[in-house]
Amino acid sequence: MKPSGEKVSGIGSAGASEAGNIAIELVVLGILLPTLLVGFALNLLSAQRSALAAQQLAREAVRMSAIGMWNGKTSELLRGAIADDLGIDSSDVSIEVVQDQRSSLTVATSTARVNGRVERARMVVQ
Amino acid sequence: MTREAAIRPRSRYARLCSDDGSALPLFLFGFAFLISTALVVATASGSLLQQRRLNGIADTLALAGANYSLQLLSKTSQKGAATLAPEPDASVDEFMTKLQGNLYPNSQITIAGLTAVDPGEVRLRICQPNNALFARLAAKSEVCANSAAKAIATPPSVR
Repeated sequence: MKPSGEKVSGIGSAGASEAGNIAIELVVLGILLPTLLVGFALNLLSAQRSALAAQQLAREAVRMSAIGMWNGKTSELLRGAIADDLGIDSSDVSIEVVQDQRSSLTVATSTARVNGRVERARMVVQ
Repeated sequence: MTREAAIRPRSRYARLCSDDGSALPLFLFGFAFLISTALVVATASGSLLQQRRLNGIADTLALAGANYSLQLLSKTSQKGAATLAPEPDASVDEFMTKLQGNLYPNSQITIAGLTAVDPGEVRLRICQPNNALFARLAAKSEVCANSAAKAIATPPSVR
């Protein structure tokens, strides 16, 4: 029989004591949460990579459009190159270039979409 | 062994060598370290993305400015207004400011430095408040980009 006044159970005593199963700490804090966190970080980096690729595609497209070299074949080539670099299907990559008049300037605007990330670039047509 | 001897504090070396103690602080520290590392990487990556975007904008503005500068020069030698100008006699500075407002409205981009070195040559520096995650907490954090462009007059025979 335990001496009176000495408790071995209860939330307060369990939190303050070092008793408990190390496996729970190891699984939850040592494996589960870090795995989720690393997954989140990888997902974030993948999104950033797509955004960088979309930005690059938009810049290349708008530059080619500004010097009058943009056509369907160029578009296909650029889309294929980006898709190969990222290891994704070329249907996940799209690019659209439009030219509009702003006051006395003709401005080319390209909109690139890679894996759902959208980036735009503009350039004055020379 | 007496009771006093049993509860006597152990030396620091003895405590370091033993396996006694909770592993919870170690796990919590590791978890906090992972979170802070992920946030720092996300912030750096966001800043890089913004900087690359600004680089493209700086190139666009510098090219247009250089082209306009060359047109101003030809305007003085030949009669006729510069076709790129929103106003016929706008200086390169005015042209660039209006162009930036026209192409990138509400982007908070400021032209931090503009040098028209020679006719047809422009050096430009633009800045924008850093909108990455951690950078918003800083008092004044900006992302800047530089660009230089030189317009080359095309000979009439190849126009």
